[in-house]
Amino acid sequence: MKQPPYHISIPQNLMDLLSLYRKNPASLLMAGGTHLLNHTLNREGEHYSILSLTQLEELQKISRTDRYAEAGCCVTINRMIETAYIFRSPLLQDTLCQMGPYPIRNSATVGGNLCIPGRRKDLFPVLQLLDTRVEIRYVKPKRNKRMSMKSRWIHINNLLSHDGEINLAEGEMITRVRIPYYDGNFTFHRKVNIKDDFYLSVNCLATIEKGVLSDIRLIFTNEEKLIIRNRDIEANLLGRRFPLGKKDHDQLMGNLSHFYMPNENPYETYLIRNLFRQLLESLADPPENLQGTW
Amino acid sequence: MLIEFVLNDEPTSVEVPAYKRLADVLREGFNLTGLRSACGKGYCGLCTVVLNEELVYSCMIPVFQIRGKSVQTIEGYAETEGFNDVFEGFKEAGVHLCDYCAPTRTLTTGILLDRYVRPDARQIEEILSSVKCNCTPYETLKKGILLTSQIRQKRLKS
Amino acid sequence: MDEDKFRNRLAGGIRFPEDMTSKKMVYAILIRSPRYQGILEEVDVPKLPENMLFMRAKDLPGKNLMPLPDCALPLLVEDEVLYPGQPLGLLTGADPEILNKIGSQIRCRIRKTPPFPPAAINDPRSTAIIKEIKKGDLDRGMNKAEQILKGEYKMIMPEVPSYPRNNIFCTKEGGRYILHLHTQWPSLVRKLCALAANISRKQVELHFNTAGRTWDSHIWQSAVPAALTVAAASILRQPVRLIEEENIAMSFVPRELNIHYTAGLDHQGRLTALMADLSIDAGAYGCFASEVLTRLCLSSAGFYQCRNIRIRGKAYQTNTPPWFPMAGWGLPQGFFGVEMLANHLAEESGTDPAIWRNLNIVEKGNLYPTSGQVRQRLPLPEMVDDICRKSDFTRKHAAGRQVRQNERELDLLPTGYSGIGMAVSFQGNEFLSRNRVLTASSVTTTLHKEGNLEIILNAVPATPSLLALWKKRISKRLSIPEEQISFILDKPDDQAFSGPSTLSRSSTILTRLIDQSCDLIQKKRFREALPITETGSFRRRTKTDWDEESLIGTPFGTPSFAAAVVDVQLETATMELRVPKIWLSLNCGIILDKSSARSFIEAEVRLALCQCLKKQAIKPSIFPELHIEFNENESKNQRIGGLEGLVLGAVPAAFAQAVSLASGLQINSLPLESGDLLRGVN
Repeated sequence: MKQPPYHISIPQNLMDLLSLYRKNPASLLMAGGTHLLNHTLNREGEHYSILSLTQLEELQKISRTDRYAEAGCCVTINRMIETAYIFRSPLLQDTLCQMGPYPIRNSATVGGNLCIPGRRKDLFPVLQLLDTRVEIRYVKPKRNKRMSMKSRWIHINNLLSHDGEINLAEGEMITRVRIPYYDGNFTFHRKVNIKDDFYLSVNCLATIEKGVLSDIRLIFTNEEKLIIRNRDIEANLLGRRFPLGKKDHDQLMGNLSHFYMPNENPYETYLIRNLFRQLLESLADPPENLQGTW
Repeated sequence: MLIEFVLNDEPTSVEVPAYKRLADVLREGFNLTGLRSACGKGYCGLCTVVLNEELVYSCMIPVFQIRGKSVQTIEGYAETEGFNDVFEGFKEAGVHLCDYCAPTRTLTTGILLDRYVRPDARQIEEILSSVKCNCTPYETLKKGILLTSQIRQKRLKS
Repeated sequence: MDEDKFRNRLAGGIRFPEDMTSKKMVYAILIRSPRYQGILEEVDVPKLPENMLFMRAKDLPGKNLMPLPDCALPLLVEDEVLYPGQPLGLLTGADPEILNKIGSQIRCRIRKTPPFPPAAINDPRSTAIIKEIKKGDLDRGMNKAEQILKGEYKMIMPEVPSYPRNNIFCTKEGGRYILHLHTQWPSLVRKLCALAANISRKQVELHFNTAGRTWDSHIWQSAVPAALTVAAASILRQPVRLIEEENIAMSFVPRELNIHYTAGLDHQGRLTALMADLSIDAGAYGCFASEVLTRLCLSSAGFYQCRNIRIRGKAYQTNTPPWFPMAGWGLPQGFFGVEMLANHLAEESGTDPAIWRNLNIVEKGNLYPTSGQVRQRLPLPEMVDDICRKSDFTRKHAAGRQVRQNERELDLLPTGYSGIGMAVSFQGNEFLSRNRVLTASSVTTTLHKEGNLEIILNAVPATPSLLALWKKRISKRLSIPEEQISFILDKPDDQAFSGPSTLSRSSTILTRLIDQSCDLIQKKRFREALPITETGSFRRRTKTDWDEESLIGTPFGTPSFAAAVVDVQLETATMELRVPKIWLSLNCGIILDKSSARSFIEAEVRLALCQCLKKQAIKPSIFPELHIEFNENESKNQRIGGLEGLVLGAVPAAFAQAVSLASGLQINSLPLESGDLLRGVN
């Protein structure tokens, strides 16, 4: 098989890795490599500088506290599935199980899935709903010119720039994700193929008690740059009693177009509308097995 | 780059460019031809190997990532009792696999049945979809997987 | 199956061409043209190291030609490049990486020439073949009709995966070139290798593996690299392994089949006239266009009673890689058109599609659309009735129509719609062309002094289980233990030439020839001295049976038939289509091995659904529940029928009809995407 020229560095600790990354910010960070090997590293005649991450054990740790669970960016998807009891999210579990065949999930990693250029795949919207925070690390020279490692936690929302691309400064990388526990009792997850390997997905987390919606988080994504989480519509739904009356239902459906601008692709607009309707129906009659699983 | 790793339970090393894919290294350097070099894109699954006890598509693994790890191919797995379970199960169920996918299908079934001792429908589907080849009907394969699982359970009990 | 062999197979002990290595072996890669057609003016090769060689057409020791039906394809470009990715030369060297590096530095200068005219223009430069089926007087038929209906159908052919890759290994031992490769057509490979390397056919020995479902689409593709590899081995006098890289010539090009119908119906809903114009992209050289187009015309005519028929087919050339024959050699694809039309006609005449079919299907004593007489009672009406009963087709179809008719009166939008569709198809294991390159087939059986039986097939059976079945069959027939029976798939011979192992020929024609030669051996066995050698040869049918020029006569001697019912569910909220169940009724004589047959059918269902749903693969989770019924009649002289293409012919049309019913739209083209159905809902 043809292979383009590579230069590979395998730093043995995070400090070395970040120092190298700072020196050469054009380098590619490789964890599982499932996306890189298929889509990025096949342009002939280009020279790639690669920084390997898989040997760094600190990036493969999973831990938990009372309020959240943390996963290193190199934790594989299958390991996340196996340790589902730590993350305590049926929605996350569902999403992870749908991410490709078993052997691919053994290579693909959390960080890799979040950082695919130009595409926000399955994991991003779910982590967004769970109010995940992301640890960014980088190194900075001190006065004595030695490097020191810095870290900051940002909300996953702030990971993206306005044009939907990953918004990290040169030399910065994601090292951990912190996923708070969500005590809701309702989840909704639908993924519909739009074209080729693009899907529109709707994810929702909610708390509904005696028919009254006390909390809701709702997100639509099309795996490209379309990510819609609209607080207005969430606010509009909050406090409502389900099942909705016809008037309320029609009003909510009518309002949808104010909150979500119609997409270029009419099929996407159609899906958003209908999946939203399905969500309302599901809230009115939540499936039993989704309530209080964790 | 010198890469030291354990291959089919034996420590070994290989001097190859670090960017080479594991599938090519195992086939060319070690003549382990039970894994096929087919799509090269992580689609067909015919190059599956066991890396640190986990199934992976070896065409998706750059060889530098296996340093210090253990790799098992179908040639190594064929020496285990697990292989015999699959062999007996497939034979009894009449699973006639083609020459091309047979080794990988055997490996994925054997390894995943270690994990899913009594596989349910979703887990069987997961075993089936690890390798993409049209040679054998899903029904026959499912029968083979279930028989293998029963044989394995019996062996483990005794 | 032998237990050790089975164990060896599972343990990965079977070696493929890409697994072969030997001392002093050199690697070879094909250098291909860039992305446009034109006259090749110059190939600029960088200075090659001593151990490397770049071979062009003029360097071949033999002929640079592949004589295929309807065209002679150059192995390497001499002057004119017709499609992107056409092979320009072969580069050999000891290190594959250096080979690839230097390969990417080879540049060529091509003077661009105009492409082939588009299909809409009838230009002799681009039209490879035109075929026509004509019966009766079309104008009279149209005049008699009470209702004239039109239909336009389009199908885009799916990408057929080709694993294993075309890797080829060639080594020379004692004056013979030993080739390891995958092929369905060993005779063609041998002939071509001998032509290209200017050696005798006896000097070429082939070894091959059976692997996966190769379909028919790639039957000759391995012959070109094989011939070039042998030529390189003969020049270099070293073993050569050709590495087939993924290239632009292999990348998927969508190909369209368009069929336009005009049909006349009388007041009872019977066909009075049928006119069709079909066109298909034949690729750059139009190889096999004649056979494929004949089969397309034949299936586009269907097998409905009609006195006045005119079916005209055109295969046009384009600047894309040659790709014929497609899966089933065109027969299944044509059924999509005629079965879509049949469903449309049934609907327009207010009849249930099953009843319409039984009313219009040709009967014993009628004439086929090709004017041959139907000599035997066709099993199709019973099959249609049977499958209707099992799938509850009539009720479900009527209910589906009713729901759609009443939907405007409904206040509520249902969460989903169901649809059901039906289609029938037939298959013949013979070629319609009388070209010996395709039709030749023979089996030579020798009973040796020691009692061993050796059978030379000159063909590669579609599945390895066929060999086991044949062994069992011969053992029973001749009372020879199975261990003493051996098969030679290919024997170097200057004379013998066999057609490709496609269209179920290996399970039908070869079984027949094996039976024939074994019967002859049995007759002579205790009368003549051993060894006894007997050859059974496939006899082509006479021109009175089938005239390939005017397309008149009975096309297939022993056709197989299929009826399919496809159940579709359409989710209103997402427009997602699901196929929960498929019922299949198949009549193909004796089934040698039901498990293999079922496996083949399942694989064809997967391919057919890929064709329908524009998916690369059908996952186990969405694979439909299959209900397969083999209609084996119990008469004594049972034939062995073919299976290939039966399901591929029937399922797409049944699927499209089911979707039409579920969505309330007239679906006329495949594949479908959920988004395509949207406009119907709005």
